[in-house]
Amino acid sequence: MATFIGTWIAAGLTLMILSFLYRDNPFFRFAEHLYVGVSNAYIVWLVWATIVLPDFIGRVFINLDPAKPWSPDYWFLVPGVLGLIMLTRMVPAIEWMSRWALAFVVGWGAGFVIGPVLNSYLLAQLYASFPWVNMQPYLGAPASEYIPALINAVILFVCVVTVLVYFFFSYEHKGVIGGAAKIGIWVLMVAFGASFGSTVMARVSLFIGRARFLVQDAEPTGHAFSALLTLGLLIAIITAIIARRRQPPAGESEPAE
Amino acid sequence: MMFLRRQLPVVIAFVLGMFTLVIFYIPAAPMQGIGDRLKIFVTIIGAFAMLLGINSILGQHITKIRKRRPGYGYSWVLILGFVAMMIAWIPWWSAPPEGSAAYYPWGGLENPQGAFYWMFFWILVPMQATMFSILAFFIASAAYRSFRAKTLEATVLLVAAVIVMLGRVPLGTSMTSWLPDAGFWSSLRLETMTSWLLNIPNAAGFRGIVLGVALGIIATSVRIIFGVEKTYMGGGD
Repeated sequence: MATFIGTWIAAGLTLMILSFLYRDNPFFRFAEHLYVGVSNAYIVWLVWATIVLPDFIGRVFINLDPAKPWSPDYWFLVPGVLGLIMLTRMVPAIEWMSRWALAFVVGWGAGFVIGPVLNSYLLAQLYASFPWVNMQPYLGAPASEYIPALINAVILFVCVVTVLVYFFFSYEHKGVIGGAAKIGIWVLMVAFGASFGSTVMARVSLFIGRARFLVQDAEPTGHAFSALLTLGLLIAIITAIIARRRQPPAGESEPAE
Repeated sequence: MMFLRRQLPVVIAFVLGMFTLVIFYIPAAPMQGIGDRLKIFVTIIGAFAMLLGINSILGQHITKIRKRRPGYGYSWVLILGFVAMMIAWIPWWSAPPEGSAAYYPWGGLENPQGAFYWMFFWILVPMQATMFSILAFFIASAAYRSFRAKTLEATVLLVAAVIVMLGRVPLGTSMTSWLPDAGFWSSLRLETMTSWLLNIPNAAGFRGIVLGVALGIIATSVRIIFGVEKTYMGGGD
C-alpha cells in the first residue's frame, strides 16, 4: 500500500514539476517549495549521520560501538567550539567572532589545495600533453596503430598550446600569436560544443527516465490508463509550449534576430 | 579588540595555511595523521555552518508568513515539508538495529521501514530527478539560440555538438553503421568521431582551461595565506 501511494505521489509531483514547461504556475510552486523543504531536512540528516555523529559526538561524548574499546578524544572539542563560534553569525553584536572559524576553514583550504592542485591539475596535465608521453604505450606497435596515435598525440599537443596562447594576453594577438590564438578559439569551440552535446544527452536521458517512470511504473497493475493519461499530459504540455512560443513576449514588437 | 576582530583571523589563516601546505610535503605518518585530523575538523565546522543555512532559509520563510507577503502559502509548504521530514527521521516506530547501543539515534535512510526512507524515495528522489530533467528543455532552447551558425566559430560549435549528440544515441550511430568497423573509413563512423572529439579536442580545450584554473587557485591560495586576500572576512570592523 505504501508503495502504491508513494508511486502516485511521485507521479503527481513529477507532473507538477513538468508543468513548469508551460509556464510558472501554482502546482509547480507547490512542488518547488516542498522540494526545498524536504531536501533541507535530508541534508540535515546527511550531515548528522555522516559527520556530526561519527566524527564529533562519537569521538568525544558517546561510544557508538560498545563492542570496541573507546576513550574520548578531546582534541575534537576544538572544531566543536569553532563550530559554535561560527554560529555567532546569528548574533549581530558578536558576529565578528565567526571570522575565527571562517579563517580556520579558509586558511586550511588555501594550504590544502596548493599541493594537490600543483601536482594533479598543473604538472600532471602538462605532462600528459606531451606527445612523447602519450606515445609511450605505442612503442613497438605496428604502423597501423602507431601512426594514428602519433597524429592524435601531435594534435592534442598543438591544441593545448594554441588554447594556452589564446588565454595569454601579455602579447597582442597579432601575426603568429594571433593565428595560434585563432586556432585556440576553434579548439575551445569544439570542446564547448562536445561538452554541450554531452550535457544535452545527459539531461535528455534523465527526462526519458522520468517519462518511463510515468508510463511504466506509475501504474502498478500495468493497464494502459496511466500510459494514456501520461501521454495525453505530455502532448498537452508540448502543445502548450509550441503555442506559447508562437506568441511574442509582451513588449516585443518584432521577433528577435 | 581590533586585533581580535581584524588581525587574529589573518593570523589563524596564515598559520593553518602554512602548516597544511608544509605537511603535504612531509610524508611522515604523524604529520599525515595531523593532516587527516584537520580535514575532519574542517568538516565538523562545516556541519555547524550548515545550521546557518537552515536558519537563513527557514527564517526568511517564517518572516514571509508572519508579514503575509504574497505567496506566503508556499512558505507553509516549505516549512511543513521540512518539519515532516525531520519528524519522519525520529525512529519511534521501530527498534534500533541488533547489537547497537540503546541510545544510538538510528533513523533516516538507515531504517528502510521508516517514513524518512519512504519520503526520500517517493518525494525527494522523483522531484530531484524531474528538476534536472526539465533542464533538457531549457538546454534545448539555449541550444536553439546559440547554435545558429552566424560565424565560423558558432558553426564549429554546432557541428561538434551535433556529432556528439548523434554519436550518443542508437539512431545516430545507425546512420553510419554501414561503414566498416576497422581501417580508415571506420574513423568516419559517428561513434568513432564522438569518441575522438571527446578525447582529443575536448580534452585539449579543457586542459588549457584547467591549467589556467590551477594557476588561479594557487595564486588565490597564496594571497589568502599571506593575508592579501581578506574578502572572506566580509565588510565592517
